[in-house]
Amino acid sequence: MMRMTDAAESDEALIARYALGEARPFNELYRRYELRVWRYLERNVGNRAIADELLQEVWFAVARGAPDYRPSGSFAGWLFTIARNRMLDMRRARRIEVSLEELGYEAEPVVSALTAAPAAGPVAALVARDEVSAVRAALQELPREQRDAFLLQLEGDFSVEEIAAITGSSFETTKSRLRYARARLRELLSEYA
Amino acid sequence: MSEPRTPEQEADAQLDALYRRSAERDVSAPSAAVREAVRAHAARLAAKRAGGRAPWRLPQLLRSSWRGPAVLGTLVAAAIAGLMVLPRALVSPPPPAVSELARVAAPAPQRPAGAPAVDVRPAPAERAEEKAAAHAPQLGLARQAPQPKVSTAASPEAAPAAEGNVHPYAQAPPPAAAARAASADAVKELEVTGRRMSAAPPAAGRSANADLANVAAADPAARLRGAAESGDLAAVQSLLGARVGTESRDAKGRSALLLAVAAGHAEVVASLLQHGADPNAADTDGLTPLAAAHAAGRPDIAALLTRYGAR
Repeated sequence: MMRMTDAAESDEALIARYALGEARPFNELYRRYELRVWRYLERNVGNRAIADELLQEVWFAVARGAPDYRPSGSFAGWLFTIARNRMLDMRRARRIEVSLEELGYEAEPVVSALTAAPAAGPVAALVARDEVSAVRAALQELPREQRDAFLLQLEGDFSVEEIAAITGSSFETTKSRLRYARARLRELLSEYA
Repeated sequence: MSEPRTPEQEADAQLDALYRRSAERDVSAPSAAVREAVRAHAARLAAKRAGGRAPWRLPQLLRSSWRGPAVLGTLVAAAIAGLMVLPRALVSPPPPAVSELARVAAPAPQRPAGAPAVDVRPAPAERAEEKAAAHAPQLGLARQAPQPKVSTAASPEAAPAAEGNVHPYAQAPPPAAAARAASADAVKELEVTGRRMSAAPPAAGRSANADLANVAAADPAARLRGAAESGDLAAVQSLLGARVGTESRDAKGRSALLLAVAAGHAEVVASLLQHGADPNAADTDGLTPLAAAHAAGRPDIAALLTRYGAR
């Protein structure tokens, strides 16, 4: 009889096996989602140390809550919902104010340029910077809700409907946030796109 | 053949590609210490679960190539024989004396046969699991609460009135014993979850009612949570009318509003909101009422919450 490998199993099957006491399926799930969840958190809060802390809390919660998981939606949706709730909790608790200095690179000139002349575009300020930094800086320029929706779509691969469910927003609101986020990012990253 | 993309769609696609390209090039990553901590924690929990509740496996007897069919055949035959005998067994036994029925059936008029609500606490193992899951994400709040383990032997006095052929209702304990056991358990349950009120029989005897009233008076907030979770609108309104606050939480940080939302009781939710319940009060796992409404598949409640400022 053919034995299905962890790598071939669905997320939902893996979390069900983990809930029954097998450790290996959890490691596979962690491998699949570690980086995506971390990027979602890190780009949202703009701080690696906080993202690490949140990541640990999220996966601890997944491990504890595995027996309670009911596959009414996707595992990814459940996972990112936990991640988002943890992030909101921490924001409330710490009143996180994202500081670009905390990002680990020199971002002040970018911010100054964006603030001083948003209509003229940040191109001149961003040209000299590498693409990675430019994207990260541009993300921080978005309003939180827009950034959250955009990151859920890009890191979580969620549809508009799924993002609306995760964020507790309406479909139209979510769609608008995504549209505005992309419009702003296109403006900020026109030299790179 | 796919339709050609509009310029805006093309620009969006290029932007998404740029994001993904930059993400691939980005060398930043979560710390290895976090990875190790998470995996170690998960492994510990898995080992605990494997020890306490091993995955179900086919008994050794049935795994043998020839014994399996033989044993299964025997079981099927026994089941058929049981079905043939069952109708005779279902013939009602002679009714007990009227006086005895009146004595034992009065405490639980609306409860199904054979389910006297004397001890609704989970078994020790289940309680330990609940404690362990105290901080687990509660997206499954809308699920049915685990069936409480019912014990008919809460005290020696609560033992069945008579051995042998007794009507199922007759297995309820005498009212006085039930009342004492119920009130004692109610105190404990109210302290922890506030659910006891909803699980208690509507009329467990005068003394039980008096005790429960005392308990409720001691912790009306817990009673409010219990009523909210069970959808008892009248009780909720009564408690709110008595100026019982809505901000109280249970051990998992769940407010009356969150419990009502998760259980899908829209009218109770509306009543709580009208009395100033915080629409953004999340539990210890950060589950907000709005998220709970979506998780429970109740867009109507979500809309209601949003009108009151839920985010």
